[in-house]
Amino acid sequence: MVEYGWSDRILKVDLTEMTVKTISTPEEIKLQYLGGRGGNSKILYDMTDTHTHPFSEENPIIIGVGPLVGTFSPSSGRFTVTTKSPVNNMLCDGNSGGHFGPELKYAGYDHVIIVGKAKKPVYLYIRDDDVEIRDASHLWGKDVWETDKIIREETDEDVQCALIGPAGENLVVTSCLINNLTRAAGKCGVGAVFGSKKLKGIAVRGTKGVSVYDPEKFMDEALKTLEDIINDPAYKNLSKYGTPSLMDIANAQGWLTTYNCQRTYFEKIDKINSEAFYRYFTKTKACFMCPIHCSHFYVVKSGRFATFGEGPEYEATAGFGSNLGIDDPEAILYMNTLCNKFGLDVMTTARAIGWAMEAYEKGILNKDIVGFELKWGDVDRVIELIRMIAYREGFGDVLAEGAYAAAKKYGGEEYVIHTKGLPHSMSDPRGKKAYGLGYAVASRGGDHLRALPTAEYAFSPERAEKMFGTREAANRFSIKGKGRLVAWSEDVAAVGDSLGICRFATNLIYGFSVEHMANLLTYATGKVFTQDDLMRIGERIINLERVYLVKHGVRRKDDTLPKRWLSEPNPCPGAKGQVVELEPMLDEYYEVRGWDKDGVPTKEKLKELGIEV
Amino acid sequence: MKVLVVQPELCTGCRICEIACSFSKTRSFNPAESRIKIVKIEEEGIDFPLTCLHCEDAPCVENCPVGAMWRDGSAVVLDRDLCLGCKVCLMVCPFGAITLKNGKPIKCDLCGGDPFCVKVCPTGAIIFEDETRVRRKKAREYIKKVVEVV
Repeated sequence: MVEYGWSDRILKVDLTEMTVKTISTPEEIKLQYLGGRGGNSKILYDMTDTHTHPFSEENPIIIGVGPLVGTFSPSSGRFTVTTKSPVNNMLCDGNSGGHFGPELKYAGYDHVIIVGKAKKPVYLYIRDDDVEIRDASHLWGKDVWETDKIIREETDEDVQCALIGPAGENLVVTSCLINNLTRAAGKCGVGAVFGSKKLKGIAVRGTKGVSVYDPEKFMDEALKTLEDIINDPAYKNLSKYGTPSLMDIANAQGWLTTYNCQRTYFEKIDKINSEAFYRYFTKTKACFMCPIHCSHFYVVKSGRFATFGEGPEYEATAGFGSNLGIDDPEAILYMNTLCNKFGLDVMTTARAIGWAMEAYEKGILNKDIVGFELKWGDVDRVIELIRMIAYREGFGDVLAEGAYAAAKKYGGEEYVIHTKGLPHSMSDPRGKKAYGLGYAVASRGGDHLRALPTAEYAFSPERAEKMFGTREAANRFSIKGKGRLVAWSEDVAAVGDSLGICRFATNLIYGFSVEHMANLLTYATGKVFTQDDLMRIGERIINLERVYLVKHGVRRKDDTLPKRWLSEPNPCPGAKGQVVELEPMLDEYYEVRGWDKDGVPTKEKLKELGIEV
Repeated sequence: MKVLVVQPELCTGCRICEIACSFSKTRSFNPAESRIKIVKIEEEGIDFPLTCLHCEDAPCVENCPVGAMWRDGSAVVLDRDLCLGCKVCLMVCPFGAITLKNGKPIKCDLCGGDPFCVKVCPTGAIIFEDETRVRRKKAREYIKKVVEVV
C-alpha cells in the first residue's frame, strides 16, 4: 500500500538490549496529533510518568517529523526531539531545521523512539530499512564538527548527522543536539539525555522520498504558499539580515536583554547591530525547502577571534552581546561557533553566564567561588566559562546544572531569568506583554517559541479586533485580548511544529497561513482537514502537554515570571516604566483555554478534546 | 541560444530546486530522483548547484558506445531504454554531474526548454537565458565591482 504524507512507520531502538524494530504509526498519532511535536508529546505522555527520571533507561528520546516534512511545502525541514527534561523534570523538546529531518523522512520514518542505555558509546546509522547501532568509542570526547567529519568518512558523504558534543556527554543541562554542524535542537538539555544513554548521535541516509495523494493540487498550493511567504512585509528584512535584525528594534522598543535584564537599552548597540554583523557574512543560508534563508555563513578572517560558522541568531547577538555587556561582534561570533562545536545551547548558556555576572556584581559570588573575577564585558572570561561549562571544570561544573540550580546552591534566585527552571529568551516582556504571558504558560518552561506572539505588533488593530475581540490586542503595551492572542498563537505554533513547518513562516512571517496548512495536509494525505480541524488539533496538543505538566504539579503559581519583570519598572526608553501585569492576562488565558482558575484543564474540556487522563 | 548557468554565490542551499526537479520527473518528492544536486561543503560554507552543464563537445555524448546520448537544441539528452548502464558517461563527465538510478544515469533535460528549477529558485542562483544576455549581465556585475574598487 502506498502511504501518503506520513511514512507510517516508527523506529524503536533499545540501547540496553541493542535491538531495533519498526511498528506502524498508530492512527491516533496521525489523525489526532499529526506527528512531529504533537506525536512526540503524545508518545512521551503515554510512555512516562512523574517517576521517570530524565537520565533513566526508561526515559525515551523521541524524534518526530511531520507529514509535510520532505515535500515541496515551503519551510518544511523541521524535526522535533522530545524527552523528559533534565532541567526541570518535565516536558522537554527541541526543534531544529537544517536537512536532518527530511532525510529521516526519506528513510521512511515518522518517529524514532530510543530507550535504554548503551554500555559503551554508540551512534545510530540509518540507511532506509537498514539500522545499525555502531560503536562510537573513537568519537566520544570529540566535538560536533570533528565527529560529523569522521562519520561522513566512515559511512556516506550524503548522510545527515544529528550529534552531541562534549557538553552532552558530560550531562550539561544546557547542552543540545546539533545537526548540519550549526542547527540546534536546543534549550532544555536534550543533549544531556543523549549523553546519559551513551548515544553520540544519529546518522541517516534516506532514498525513498515522499509521495502525496494529489500531486498537482499539492504543488499548486505549495507554490501559492511560497509566494505568500515571499510577499509578506516581514520577509525582506528577515531574508537579508536574519534575526540579528531584531537588535536595533529591540533596543529602540525597550526589550533588548541588557546586563541580565537590569536594562533594556545597550549604549554600544551600533557595534553589535545587524549592520555590524552583516560585515562578516559571506553568504545567505537556508534550511531545507525554505525561501526565507534567514541564516548566514560568517567568517572572521584574522585576529584572536578568527572563526567560521553559521548564524548568528538574535539569541546569540543579544545573549553573548548586550546581556553580558560585550560589544565585540568578532568575540560574539567566536562564542557562537564554540557553542556549536561543544554542543551547547546558546540561549541557556548565555543566561547561566548572565546570572553569574550579576550574582558576582551583587556579591553573591566571589573570586573564591568562581576562581577569578567576573566583570561585565570580560570577553576572555566568558570564553573560558563556555569551555568550563562544556567540560564541567571548576565553577563550570556549577553552571553546567543551569542558572536555576546554581542559584539554589549559592542564592540570587531573583537574578535567574526563568520560568519553571528554564531560562528565557533575550526578549524582555516589559516591552511586549503577550510575550510575558506566552513565557509564563509555555509547556516546556521559560520559552518564547511556544507562542511567538508577534501578532501583538504585526497585526493591524482591525485584524486584532476581528480575531481577538479588541483593537487593544495589537498594542504591545496593552494586556487586553492577550489571552486570546497567545492561545491562538500557541495553537498555530503547535500545528506548525507537528506538520514540520518553521515557526518563522507561520508566526513571524504570516504567509504560511492555517488555510495553507489545511490545504497542503489535505492534498498530501488524502484525508480532509479543515482550518477548524487543525486549530482543534493544536488545542489538543497544548492541552495534552498541559495535563502532563499538571501531573508534575504545575499550577497557576508556576505560571509566573521573574520578579524583575513583574515589579521592577523598565528603566529604559521605548518601554520606560512598564512592568508585566501578568495576573489579569492569565485570567483571560485560562478562560479562553477552558482551564480552571488554577490553570488546570477542566474535565469537560479534556472530554471535548478526547484526552484521557 | 539559451544556456543554463549556476551562480553558487547566490545559492542558499535550500534544495527547493532538487525537490522541484524530482516532482517534475516523478510526481513525488525525492532528492535521490533529482537531476540537480546542491553539493554542500558545510565546513567551508559552500553550496553549489550541480547539474549537467550541457557541454557543446559533451564527453558523455562522444563516448557513449550505443548512442544513447545526443544533443537536442540546448540540451544533452538521454534515452534510458537504449542505455546499457555501462557508466562510461560517469567516468568521462568532468563535473561529476551524472547521477545513477538503478545503475543507469538520470540527467537534466532542461524540462524541454523551460526548466522548473529555474522558475522556483528563490534567489536566482540558477538561470536559463540567452547566452548574450547572460554574458552582458556577468559583464555588468564585473564592471560594477571594478568601478567600486577604482
